[in-house]
Amino acid sequence: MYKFLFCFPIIIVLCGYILWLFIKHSKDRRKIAEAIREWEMTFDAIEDGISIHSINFVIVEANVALCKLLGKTKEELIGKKCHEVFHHRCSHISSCPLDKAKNSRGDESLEIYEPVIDRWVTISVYPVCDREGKFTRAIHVMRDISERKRLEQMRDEFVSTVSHELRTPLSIVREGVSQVSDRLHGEINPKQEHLLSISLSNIDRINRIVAELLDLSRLEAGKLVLKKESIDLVKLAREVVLSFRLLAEAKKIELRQHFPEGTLEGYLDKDKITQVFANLIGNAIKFTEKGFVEVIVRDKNDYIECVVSDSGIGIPEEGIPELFSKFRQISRQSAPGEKGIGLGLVITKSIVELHLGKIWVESKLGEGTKVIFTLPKGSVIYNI
Amino acid sequence: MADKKRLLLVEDEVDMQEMVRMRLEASGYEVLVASDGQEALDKAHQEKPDLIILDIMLPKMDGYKVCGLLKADARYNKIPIIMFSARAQDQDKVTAQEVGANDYICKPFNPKELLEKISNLLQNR
Repeated sequence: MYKFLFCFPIIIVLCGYILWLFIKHSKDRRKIAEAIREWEMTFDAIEDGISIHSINFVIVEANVALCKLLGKTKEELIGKKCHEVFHHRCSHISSCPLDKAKNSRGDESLEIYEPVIDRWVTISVYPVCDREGKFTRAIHVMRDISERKRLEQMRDEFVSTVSHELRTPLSIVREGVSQVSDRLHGEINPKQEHLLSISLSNIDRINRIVAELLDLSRLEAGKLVLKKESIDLVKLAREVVLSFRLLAEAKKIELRQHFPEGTLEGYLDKDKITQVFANLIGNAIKFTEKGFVEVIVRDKNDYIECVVSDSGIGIPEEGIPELFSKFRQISRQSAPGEKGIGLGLVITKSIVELHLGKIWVESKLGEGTKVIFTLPKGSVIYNI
Repeated sequence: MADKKRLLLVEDEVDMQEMVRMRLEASGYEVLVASDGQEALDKAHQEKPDLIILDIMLPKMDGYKVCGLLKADARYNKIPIIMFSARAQDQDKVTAQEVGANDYICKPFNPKELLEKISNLLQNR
C-alpha cells in the first residue's frame, strides 16, 4: 500500500510527460503541415511554370502555372518524361538544358520556340544536390516570353521598314548634291565646294547608319542567310589589309600582318567575312593614335584563329562586356573619323557566330586592344 | 560619235528619275523616261533604246517581269538591261540574273559605277 502511494506521483509525472510529448508532437505536425501548405501555395502562386525533375527527365512535381502553360493537369504531367510532354519527343532535344546541367553541374538556360504550345519560352534549369553533393533533382523553370518576342519582332520590322524607306530620299539628296559638287551644271566657288563636300560626307554618314540598321534588323530577324563557299582566308585578309594601307599611312600607323605561307581554306561567306575584317581593322585604326595595327591569321588545326590588335587607347575592363551590346560606343568623344552608331561590333559578332565561330576581346586601358575570332576550316558542314 | 546613245530610264520615283536623267544627260546620253512597267515595255517596243536602266519595284508591272518579257522577245533581247533597286538582298541579284538582266546596281547608287556599267555594256554590244 505504501509502495503504491510512493509510485503514485511518479505515475502522474510520467503521464504528464507523455501528454506533453503528445501535444508537442501534434503541434510540430501541424507546423509541418502548415509549412507544406505554405510551400505548395507559394509554388502554385508563382507565375512561371515550375517543375521538379529527376535526373532521368521524369517530372516529379509541377505547379499550376506550368499546367496552364502546357494546357495539362498535374496528373497528366507527373510521372512523365519532360521531353514527352514539352516537345512531344521520345528523347531529349540536343540543346536540352537539363542534359547540359547534368554535365556542367551548374545552372543552364535556353530560349526556344515550343511549337506544341505555340509560345516562345526561356527554360532555366537549376540542379539540386543532396548532402553528399550528388545531383538528384533539378528545378525546371519555364517562362513565357512570347509577348517580349512579339514586341522585339515589331521593333525589328519597324527599323527595317524605316531604314528601307530612308534609302530612296537619301540617295536622291546625295545625287543632287554630288552633281552640283561635280560641276555637272556649271562652275562653283571654293566656299560652295567646301560646303557641299561637308554635306556629302554627312549624307554618307547617314547612309552608313541606315545600312548598319538594315544589316542588324536582318541579322536579328534571322533573314541573313550565309552564302558559304570554300575560300582562301589568307588572300581575303591580305586584300582587306591592303585596302586600309592609305588610311593607316595617313595616320602614320604601322600596319603589320602575319599570315601563314600558302593558303588556308575556310568554308565561309566571303562578303560577310570581309565585312568582319574591315570593321575590326577600321575600328583599330580609328582608336589608335600612334604605333601599330596588327592582323594575324593562324592555323589552329581544328579551326582558324584571326586576331586584330592595336596599340591604341584600349578599353576599360568594365567596358568590355558592353562592347557587343547595341548602340554602345566607348569613349565616343575620342573617336574621330567615320562615326557610326556603335552597331559595327554587334554585326561583326553576329556574323562570326552565324559561322559557328567565337569572338572575344582582350584589352587594357591605354595599352591597346586585341580582338580574337575563330572560324571553321575547310568545307566541313557543321550541324547545330 | 555620230549619234548620241539613247537610254531608257525606268523609275517611278519622280525625283530619282530627274536626278539620274540629269546625270546621264550630262554624260552625253539621250535619255527617255518611263514611270511604270507598262510604259517601260511600250517605250522599249517603240523606241528600241540602246540600253535600259530598270527599277525593280514599279507600278503595274514589276521590273523583273518587264525584263523577262523583253529578254524573251527576239526583237528586243539584244538590248542590255541594268536592274536598279533599293533592295540590296542577295536574292534580288539572283532573281535579276534569272530573268536575264545584264547587270545590277543598288541604291544609294554610285554615279561613277553606274556610268561605267553603262559604257561597258554599250561597248560590248
